[in-house]
Amino acid sequence: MPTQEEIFSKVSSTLVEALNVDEEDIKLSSTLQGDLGAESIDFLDIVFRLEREFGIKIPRGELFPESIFQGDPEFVSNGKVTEKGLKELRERMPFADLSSFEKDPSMSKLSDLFTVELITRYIQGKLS
Amino acid sequence: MRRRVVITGTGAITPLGHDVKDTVEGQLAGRSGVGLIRQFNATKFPTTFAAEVKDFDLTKYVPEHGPWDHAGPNTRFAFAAALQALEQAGLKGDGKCDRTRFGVYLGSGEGVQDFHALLWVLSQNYDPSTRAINIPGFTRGTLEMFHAEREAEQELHTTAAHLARYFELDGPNLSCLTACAASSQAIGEATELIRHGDADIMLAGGAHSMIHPFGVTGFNLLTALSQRNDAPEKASRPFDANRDGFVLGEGAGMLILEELEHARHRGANILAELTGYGTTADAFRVTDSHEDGRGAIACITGAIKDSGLSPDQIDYINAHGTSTKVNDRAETLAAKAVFRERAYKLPISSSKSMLGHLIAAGGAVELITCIESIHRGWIPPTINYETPDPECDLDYVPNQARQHRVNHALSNSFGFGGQNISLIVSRFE
Amino acid sequence: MPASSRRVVLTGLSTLSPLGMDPDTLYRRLMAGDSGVRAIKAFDTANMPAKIAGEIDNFEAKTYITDKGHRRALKMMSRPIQLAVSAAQCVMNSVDRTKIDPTRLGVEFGAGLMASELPELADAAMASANCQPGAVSLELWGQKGIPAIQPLWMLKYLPNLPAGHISIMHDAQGPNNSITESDAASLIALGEAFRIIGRDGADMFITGGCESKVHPVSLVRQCLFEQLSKRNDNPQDACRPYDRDRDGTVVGEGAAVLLIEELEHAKRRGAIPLAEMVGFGAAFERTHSGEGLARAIKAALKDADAIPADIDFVIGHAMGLTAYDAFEARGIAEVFGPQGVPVYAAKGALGNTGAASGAMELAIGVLALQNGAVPPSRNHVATAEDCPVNVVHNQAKKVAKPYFLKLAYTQLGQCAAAVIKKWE
Repeated sequence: MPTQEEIFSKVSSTLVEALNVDEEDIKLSSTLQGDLGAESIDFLDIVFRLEREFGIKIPRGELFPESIFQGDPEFVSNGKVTEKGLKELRERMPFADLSSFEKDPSMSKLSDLFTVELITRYIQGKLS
Repeated sequence: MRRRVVITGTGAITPLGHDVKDTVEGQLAGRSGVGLIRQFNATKFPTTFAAEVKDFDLTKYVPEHGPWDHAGPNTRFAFAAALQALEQAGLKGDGKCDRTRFGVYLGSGEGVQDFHALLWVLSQNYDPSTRAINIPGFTRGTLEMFHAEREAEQELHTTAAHLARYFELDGPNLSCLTACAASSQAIGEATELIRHGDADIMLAGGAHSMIHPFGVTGFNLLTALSQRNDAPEKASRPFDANRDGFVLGEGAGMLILEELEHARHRGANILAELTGYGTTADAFRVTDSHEDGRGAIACITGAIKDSGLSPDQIDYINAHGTSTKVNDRAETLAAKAVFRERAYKLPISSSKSMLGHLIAAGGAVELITCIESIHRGWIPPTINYETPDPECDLDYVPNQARQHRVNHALSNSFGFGGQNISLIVSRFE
Repeated sequence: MPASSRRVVLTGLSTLSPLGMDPDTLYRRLMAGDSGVRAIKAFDTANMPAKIAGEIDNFEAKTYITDKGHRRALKMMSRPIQLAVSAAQCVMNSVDRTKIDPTRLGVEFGAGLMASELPELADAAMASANCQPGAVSLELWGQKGIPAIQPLWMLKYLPNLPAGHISIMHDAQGPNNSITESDAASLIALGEAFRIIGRDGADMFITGGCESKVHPVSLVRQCLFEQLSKRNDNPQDACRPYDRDRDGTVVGEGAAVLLIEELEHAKRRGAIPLAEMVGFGAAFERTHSGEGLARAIKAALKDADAIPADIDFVIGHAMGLTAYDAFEARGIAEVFGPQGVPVYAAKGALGNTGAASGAMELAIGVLALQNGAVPPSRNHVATAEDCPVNVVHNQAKKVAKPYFLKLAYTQLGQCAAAVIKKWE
């Protein structure tokens, strides 16, 4: 079982390759889209590279659930994630730290959930 | 005065039929052309279904042997659709017009690679422990196994050339490939060639099949295809809240575009006028549309401006409507930006709900559908529309064809890579 | 025919070629009689009937694409696309973007089939290889093969993505098309861009083409259906356009980008025209008598309001093929008369850069106009009897008249010609 630091270092090198960013730009708190410039297809690439790097299987939609709330007005109302939506998020992403998102659950902030730390915690859970 | 361009012939080979009539009547009946893939074993693919052309036999159209004997589906479908269009226009065979003023512009796709030979030879020359590939072994194997003529037929310019040779079309001969916008772009630029005087008549349209192992693989990897394997005919559901990707289709659509006076002079039956062409690029991302739909808005606006119409005069939109989350949302946004409040009253439907996505050939078949809507006074539905998506809240002509007088119809095509094309066809009176 | 009042000028050139990575080097080396053709280094050509190519050394897209965000996209580009975006970057580096309206800037590019890099498919192939010789198991491919391929795999090879990526990198929101007319692709792309500016559909275009057939799969395919020179032992002398001893062509790789714009637009932003584009024509050749090619040339001349006597030199398609060189020469002779115009052949020195060749060789013509000299056609020693053309060879030719004509064709019959005029 690798340490959290070892996982972070492997995640970082994966992101360096996938997103062509410099290693020093990658922090635990970095958001993939906002800070590291990922676009939607990059998430596919990141998942593929993580699978190879860690020898794990990441089912589609598990690490980066795409459009969790699409089609269900009960989950989103006026651009904000509802209580029911938050519950869904907690279930789908038990590895995510939702504390700051819960304070302002705007849909526009949803992408900020996808951080380097989130990946690290997810991998840790997978490997244990 | 710029030269006016009219349409004097159409032809189609699609998952709903082997001509324009069946293709259009199938759509008006709300029929799905989607089913489990028959042409290869896709049972273990992430997506197991597609909208295939069924029971197609080229020799019914072209009995002669020629280089096309080794051609793939693009050329085969193209031949049949082109023949229909030429016959309808009364232009098959030499002597009917100056052939040097008659050109070809196709949006045509890549040919089908030799999947088995390539991968089998590769597997025999690969050492997974070192990840080394024995290149001399690989090249020796493929040199033996690849079929020379079939390899040559994969080149992108072959289809347009075969049509020109067989049908004696000696004018400008072009091919483009702008993914899902290709045949619309071909029709638009062919129109411009006639307007400018480079030709008097153009055979324009597209032909494509990506229903082959590499094609399905590529789109599956990008998670672009629907994976609703338990209900294939329900999978293509543009604008529905539960859409999960597009459905591959295949086929060809061909139009005869002709300079108005040329058509009049020879007493041709004029089906419609091509009045507007708009072309832009998103210049944003490879697979994501710009969030405010700027490329699509500029494209639709450009086509309307080109037609000299006002937005109020557009009676029907045949949407790009792929059934992907991103496209349908962006296209809805664009329609609202261009047509404002009227967007809510303007019928918009997606042929792809029934035909699947014919990729490079899609735009041409959809434009033909627009022409037929003018003639028949009926517009096809968007089938599988069950759950409204709050972000897609326009009139998508859900599930039932609608009687509606159409004088001017707009057809949108937006390509992977950001190319946007809009075309307008108008009733000719 | 309505003559456009909008004049179109060339204001930027870039060439990534087997003879250097900038136009000046390319021109200098052509003038010196150098060859970019050699034994292929990129992969082991044992067992291949053709072992030579016009190959580019040490190309690193990162040296051209310095923007971090844009560099990120390089991972989803095959070599031809990387060549294309790099060539476009070279041209755009000297353009002041604040003077350009992005909605009036378009991209027209020529591109062809691009072959998958083999390591990307190897694990998937291995996972699907069955006991059955000659085929893989589609069931295993679906279960184990597909998941072993990089998700962005297909995007690396789409022929519309040279233009797509260029539009993204340079915010070119105007018309965007990818012409797939094989070896005539980039010349036709240029012609279409020229027409679009003429009709006021855009003010400026990044246009050009890209190709790399220096790839095991591409080269195997070429060996199967193209006449390739057998002179593997003598690569530099292998491709011999219009020559008595020609025995086939040589594959090549490269990218070329031409920046073209409406004259007043160029003046407003203070750009200096390198040349003016004055005519374009296209036609189909059904019989290979040369009649269709001649029609394309005549259409371009008419469009340019020029006569054959105005043309100082023609840059031929000049493949070094036994049958097609003769066909091409007949077409040229039909317009200009036998030996009626000096013809320059670039492929002897560069190999066939395919979809890039039209733009690349047109760029050479622009450099010749500017420098007042047409380079000698490498490997042309004695004109074949069946090629009624006057080939510029042995030494450079002085430029005396203001126009040149570039032509291109595909072996299936698509023909195109462009007329370029010296800027004075």
